[in-house]
Amino acid sequence: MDCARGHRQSFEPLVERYYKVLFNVALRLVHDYDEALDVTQTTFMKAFEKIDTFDPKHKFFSWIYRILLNESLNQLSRRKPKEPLDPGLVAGGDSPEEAYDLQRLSDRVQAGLTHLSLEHRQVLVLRHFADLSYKEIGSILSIPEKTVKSRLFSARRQLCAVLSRGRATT
Amino acid sequence: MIEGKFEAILNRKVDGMISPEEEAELQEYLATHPEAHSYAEDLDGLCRTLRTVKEIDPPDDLRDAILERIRAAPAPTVHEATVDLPDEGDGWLASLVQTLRGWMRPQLAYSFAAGTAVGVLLFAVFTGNLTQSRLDETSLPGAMMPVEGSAFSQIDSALLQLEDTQMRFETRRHENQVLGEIRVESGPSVQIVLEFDGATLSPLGFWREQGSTERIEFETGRIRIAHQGANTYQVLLTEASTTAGVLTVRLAADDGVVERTLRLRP
Repeated sequence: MDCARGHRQSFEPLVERYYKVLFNVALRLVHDYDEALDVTQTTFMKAFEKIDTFDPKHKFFSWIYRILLNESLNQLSRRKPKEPLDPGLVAGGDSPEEAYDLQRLSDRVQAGLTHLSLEHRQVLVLRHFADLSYKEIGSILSIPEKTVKSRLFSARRQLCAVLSRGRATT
Repeated sequence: MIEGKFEAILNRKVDGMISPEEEAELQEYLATHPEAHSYAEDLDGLCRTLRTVKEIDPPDDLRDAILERIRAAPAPTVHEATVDLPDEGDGWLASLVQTLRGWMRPQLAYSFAAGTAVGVLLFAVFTGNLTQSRLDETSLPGAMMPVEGSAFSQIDSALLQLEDTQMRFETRRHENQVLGEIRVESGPSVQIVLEFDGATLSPLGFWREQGSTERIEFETGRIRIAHQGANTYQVLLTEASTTAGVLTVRLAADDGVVERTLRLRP
């Protein structure tokens, strides 16, 4: 039997299922569109190559998120902070005005995220952009659920403050 | 300023994880602490903002690019189906099981491998070499299990009860994949059996919420779980034909047997 072919066939639905959400998480963490694409691709490649190390007692998405987070951290450590997201990346509203407002809002959120520590950004991104529960986030980050909550609540408080300051200066 | 306790409740509220009692307590607190209102509004506004901006579509070719790279990549490291000569006692069996586990993991959909696994297991049992080693769901990927809130839609459900056991079984579907979920709480040890048409349905993955002491056996068209306590199990099946199949679940304990058949299509 062709083991490699079996691997690939099993793996393709996983790519289909997770590539969008993984890309979005990567984008919010590395704050760069092209790098988020690279991180997403590399994450899937590493998952594919290391599938033998995956423990089936755990959920696949927890495992691959952990790979993605590590790849994002590697990416961040390789470069200095870059410019804000490209304009036009955000799904627009119905009118040009709405699209513009959404774009500005998205830019502000993205800029606000970069003010948070990586620890806080991770939990916020996993909760709000990957829709994961406290328990799932704890499992991915290997921290207790209680710590997830305290980091998340603190991250929200900080982001609120950053966005409020932004409003005050515009 | 807001008290830490109520800050936590407010945060859990925006996450949809608050009880009616906590909601009442929170409203009472907010009514008497107007200074906490601004925090509540800021938090609510932040979460609405995050919901508004959350989706950015990757380029259409990202998925294709990933698949292309995977297809072009060398085969991942898999264990060869060669077995070292036994040293002594359980060691050779553990080695064999480990080797087969690694070898079988990518072959999950093939009933041949499952048959081989069962054969090895039976051989091990009869020869008395099996201690802790088991060929159970580790020979299935688990990798295929869906995330919570994914595209699976509920098709059918049933509640099975015995004197000290309560079990809820649910079937869900997404395209040609069927997910069976069992949530069970039992006092005594019980046996749960899932039966399906092995010619049209193949197991792709198996997952359990906790524990590893239960014995789980896979056969063509049948999965048996020796269960005790509280746990949740999920089995993911892929359907090879459009025939309207069913999934039969049987719960057996000392005080009786109950059985239900659930639909796999709406």
